[in-house]
Amino acid sequence: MKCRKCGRGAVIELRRHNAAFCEPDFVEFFRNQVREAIRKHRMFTPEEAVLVAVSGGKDSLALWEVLIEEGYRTTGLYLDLGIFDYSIESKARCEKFATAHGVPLIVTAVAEEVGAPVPIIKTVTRRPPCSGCGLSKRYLMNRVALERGFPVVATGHNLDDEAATLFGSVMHWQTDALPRQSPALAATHPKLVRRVKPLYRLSERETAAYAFLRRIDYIVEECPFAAGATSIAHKEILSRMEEASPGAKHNFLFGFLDRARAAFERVEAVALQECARCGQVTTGTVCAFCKLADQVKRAT
Amino acid sequence: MKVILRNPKREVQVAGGRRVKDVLRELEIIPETVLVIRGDTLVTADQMVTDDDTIELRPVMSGGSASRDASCGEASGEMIGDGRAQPQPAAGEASGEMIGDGRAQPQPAAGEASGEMIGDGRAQPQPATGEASGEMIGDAS
Repeated sequence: MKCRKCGRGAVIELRRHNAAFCEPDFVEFFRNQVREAIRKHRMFTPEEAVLVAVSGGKDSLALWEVLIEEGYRTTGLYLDLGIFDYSIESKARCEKFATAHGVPLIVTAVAEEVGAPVPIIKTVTRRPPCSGCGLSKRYLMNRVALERGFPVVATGHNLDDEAATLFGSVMHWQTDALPRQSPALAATHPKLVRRVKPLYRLSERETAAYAFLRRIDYIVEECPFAAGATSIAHKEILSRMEEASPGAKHNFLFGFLDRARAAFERVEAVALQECARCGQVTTGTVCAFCKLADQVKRAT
Repeated sequence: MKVILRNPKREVQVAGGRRVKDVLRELEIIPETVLVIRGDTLVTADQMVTDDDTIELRPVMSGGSASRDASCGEASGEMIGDGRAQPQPAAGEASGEMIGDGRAQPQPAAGEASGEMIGDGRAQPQPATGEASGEMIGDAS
């Protein structure tokens, strides 16, 4: 198989693009996709400080590397979930990356903020571990960014993540979730920072390939709580569809973003207010994060 | 040849002297879900592997809450910062963006099949070359 651009031996085939690339041309393709995402959705400017949420996995570290290479001012944010060896090893990967690239890394422990690590939160709430984990991460990403003066948080969500999320929302017709799915969420309240996904044009396999080819030391092991997660099942279904029909995931997500999402936007904006306890933004009186912390406090 | 698998990490022996895609088929692995690593580089599915080769099939799928947005963590029904309006893409660049006058479309008459198109069926304006966000590089076969 030959590189589509230079004709040398290819290292990766991208069936959805009917193309294959050698290593240097794939790296350039990858960075071009990130540049296009940032430009198209006006995610941030070179003058802005970007907080990059990193997990130690391929996506977030690949994103951080690209943004550094592109000359953006970045700081990493690692949220320590307290998930046994998985968290210890993923944190070590982030620290190693930050040191090697000479960039700052903020580490915040979920246990210190909520009152217990994710495994305990899972037991207390009796809900899937991803539930309390995701809630805590979104809350802390926003709060840390606000406190430290970052106007924008960038996350490593890729095309597969976004397609799987969309698939889940459509399967349950969560019409309130559909308009919120976007590569860029605006700061619609003084206490909300912009949240962007510069990898949304790139598949999971492409981010993994980029991380490998760029010699990024990421954690390959999966979060022990991810096994059996609905999102994984959705990804597997979509991968089978992709195998049978290359471009299926791409068309599903981009078709939604380009042609369907606007149809689900609400006429009336959701009323946002500040949590009576912590002052962060919520749709209720007390935010879900404070309620979670209360629940953990009562049980421990 | 030796094949290294992950999660959990293990090794299996399979016959070489064939293409990578044949090895993947035998192991019932969807090519889209793994990187095929030989030494310090990646190999494509059409490349030959020999009995002396060692390849790693590294899964690319991550999940759970690590990169979830709406599918996890929203079960409480309460949002933290998700009730915001979306920023608009740069003018004229979204392929599906309405460029017309924004008039409401005709509604189907009562009793008619809702899935049937009643509108005018006009083709949508096409974006300028290279600006369509959803455009792929080539023709996926």
